[in-house]
Formats: sequence, structure tokens, C-alpha cells
Amino acid sequence: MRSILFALALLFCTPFAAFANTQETAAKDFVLELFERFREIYAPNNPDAEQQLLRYYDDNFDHQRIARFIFGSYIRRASQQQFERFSELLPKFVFGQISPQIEKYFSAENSATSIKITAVRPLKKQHVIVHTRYTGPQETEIRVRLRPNADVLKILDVQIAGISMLLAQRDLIGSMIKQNNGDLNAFLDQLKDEAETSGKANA
Amino acid sequence: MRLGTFFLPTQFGIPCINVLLLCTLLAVSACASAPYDPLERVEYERINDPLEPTNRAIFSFNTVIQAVIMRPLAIAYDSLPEGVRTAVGNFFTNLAEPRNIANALLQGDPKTAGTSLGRFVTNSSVGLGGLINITGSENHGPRDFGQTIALWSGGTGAHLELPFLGSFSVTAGIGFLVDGLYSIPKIQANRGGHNNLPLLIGINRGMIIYSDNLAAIDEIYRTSPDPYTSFRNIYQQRRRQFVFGGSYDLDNLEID
Repeated sequence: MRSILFALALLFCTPFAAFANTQETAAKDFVLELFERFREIYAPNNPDAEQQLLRYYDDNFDHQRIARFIFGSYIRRASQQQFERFSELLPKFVFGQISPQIEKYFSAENSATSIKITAVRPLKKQHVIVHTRYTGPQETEIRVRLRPNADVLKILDVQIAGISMLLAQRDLIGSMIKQNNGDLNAFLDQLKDEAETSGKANA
Repeated sequence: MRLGTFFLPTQFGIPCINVLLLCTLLAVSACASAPYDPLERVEYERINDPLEPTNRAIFSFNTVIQAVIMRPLAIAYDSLPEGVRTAVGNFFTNLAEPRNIANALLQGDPKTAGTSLGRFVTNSSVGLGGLINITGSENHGPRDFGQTIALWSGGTGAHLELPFLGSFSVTAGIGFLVDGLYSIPKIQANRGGHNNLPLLIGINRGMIIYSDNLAAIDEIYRTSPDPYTSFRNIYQQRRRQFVFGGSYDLDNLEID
């Protein structure tokens, strides 16, 4: 009886274990590819860096989920048009904020130092966190949270030294909306200005 | 990146001033009104900054203090040879070990307390009063009383900005006062009548932390449309991880 139960357990568990392994390998490969892309984008004298970054965001980040999370409870007040404008402006604004931090780890001057994958952890709802360690002048942990979307992995969050970029942007956007007394059109105008200003400052 | 350490409470050793500041702050503070909408209320409670108007005013004051006092001091400190800066940093880390030992014990973690004790004895003797870090930083487990209270009470408490000192949570602020009362500089001051010793050590320690994070701080001021919110968020994320360990918050982010 025991051996039958064992055989049944083995039969049911093996596909799940295999799936988990496949997902882990896919997540590792995805993050290695991401870092390689960042190295190319942040290579010195790359005139097209901003556009390449935004294209990469479009293709590999789960932008709908990210936009909804960052907009937070204000999403209920927004019209479809306002949400679409927000989703469109968000990537440029976010990269204006976090680009200098990412660049620090992937620019040419730090290319000799390396980033290694240290762990891959599954979370609920098939989310996966890939832990990596940057061994540069200041050792830092960089984590990437991924989620399968139509069988393709997409980035949900990047956490540098334990700071979730998603959570940081959500607070910032919430504060900007409050400062505009909840007027979403005024907020979107400010977001547009900020996105353009930070883009220029980082250029 | 050591940005988070800038926002973590450290032993400045000036508890009397802080008690006064904390009491004044709580007495005169203006409160942000809590929203009625249930979803917005959840967000308001997550951010947990009921004193936001007062905190923002203090943050503006601290920004001026940073620009006028801390920044020039930090830049001057940065120009010292690396060996000197490492030794000074080691000295202050070692000075905080008794605090780590006491709080590790209060948190029911005798293993970390033992490790910290070993580090303190070794670095204070063989490491020339803590100037040389013989034990390395592998098993270094900083603990403070704010963490102890937060662990026992289950939360870090509301956000606070303190004049000259920067971001704190309520538990971190209380912990800072208590740790300061029993710090080595304070005990030495009580024993020898060197009343300015804790203050001087506090300023030094603050300057080192500021100097370590100068580039990151400048970057936030340059890119953020609302530096107050950015610093508060970074502090809160770092503090919760410091108190509850690992990636507790980040793993539980409900993104779907």
C-alpha cells in the first residue's frame, strides 16, 4: 500500500518539480539577459540609450500591472483616457528616477566587477524572485521579481539594496497626486514635465 | 549601497536634547487628516505619517542644516586617506557593540549576543580599541532598542522627522533615546564629567554616515520631484527590513 502511495505521489509531484526547475532556469536566463542588455544600454557614448531603455521596458516589463500598482487607489478616479496617459508617461518618469542608480552598476567603469545570481525563490501566484549580488566598490544585492505573462516572463519589480522601486514610485506618485489636490489632469501635466526634466538631466 | 544606514538610528549620545525635541514635536505637531475612503485609508495607514505637515517642515529645516553643516564636513572627511576613514568607521562600529549585545539578548537571540560579545572583546583588545576590525563583517548583526520594541509590539510605528537627526519611526526614536542613555560615550561622560563627549561623538558618527551616502543623497535631491517622500519611503523600507529581517515586505507586495 505504501509503495503504491509513494508511486502515486511521485507521479503527481514530478511534473510540478520539473515545472519549478524549468521556471527557475528560465528566470535565471532572463535576468542574465537583462543584465547584458543593461550593459549594452549603459555603454559609454550610446546616443540611443534612453530609447533603447524604453523599448526594453515595453517588451520585458509587465507595464499594465506596474502602472496599476503605482497608481494605487487613485485608479478608481481615473478615466480610461487618464490611465492610458499615465501608463504612457510612467516609464520615462520612472527611468528618470532610477536610471542613475542602475547605471552605477552597469556602466563601463564598473564593467570589471561582476553581478552573480545567488538564489532563485518562487513566490505565490508563480512569481519568482531572482537574487543577485553585485561585487563592486559597495557590495549590493539586486533582486528582480518576475511573473509569467502569457508564458513569457515579465519584470514586475527591481529591488536594489532592499529598496523596491515599485513601492518607492507608488509613494512618490501618491504624493504628487495629493500635492495637486487630487486633480488628475494637473498631476498628469506635472508628470509629463518631470519626465522630460529628469530625462534631460540624465542625458 | 549603504544608503539605508544613513536613515537608521545610531548612537549620537545626546538623549536629553532628543527627549526635549521629541516632546516639543509631539506637542506642536500638525496632523494630516485621515481619508474616509477605505482604500485610501489602507494606503494612509501603510505610509503611516500622521504628522506629515510637521515632518515636512522639519525636513526642510534639516535640508538647510545638511547643506550648510553636514555636507562640507562630509566632503572634508571624504578627503582623508581611506585607511583613516576605515579605522574611524571601525571604531564607531565597535563602540556600538554593547548596544547590539544588550538588544540581541532582549530579542531572545543569545547567539548574536555571543557573536557581538566576541567581536567587541577581540576588536577592543587585539584591534587596538576597535580601530582595526579583526573579526571582519561576516557575522556582524547590528541591533537597537527601537528594533526590540518593534519586534515586541509588532510594528515600527508612525514616521517622524527629528531636527538635526533626520528620519525615524516612533519605535526607532524611542530606541535611539534609550540606547543613547546607556551608550559608552554617555557612561564615560557621566563618569568623567566630559559633558560634550557624547555630542562630539554623535556629530562624528553622523558625519561618517552622511559621507558614506553623500552621492546617493545628492542623486535623490537631483531627480526626485518630492525628496521628502523619497527619503521617507527609503527609510521605511530599510527600517522594516532591519526590524523584521529579509525581504518580508517585498515578498508580500500584492502586485496583482
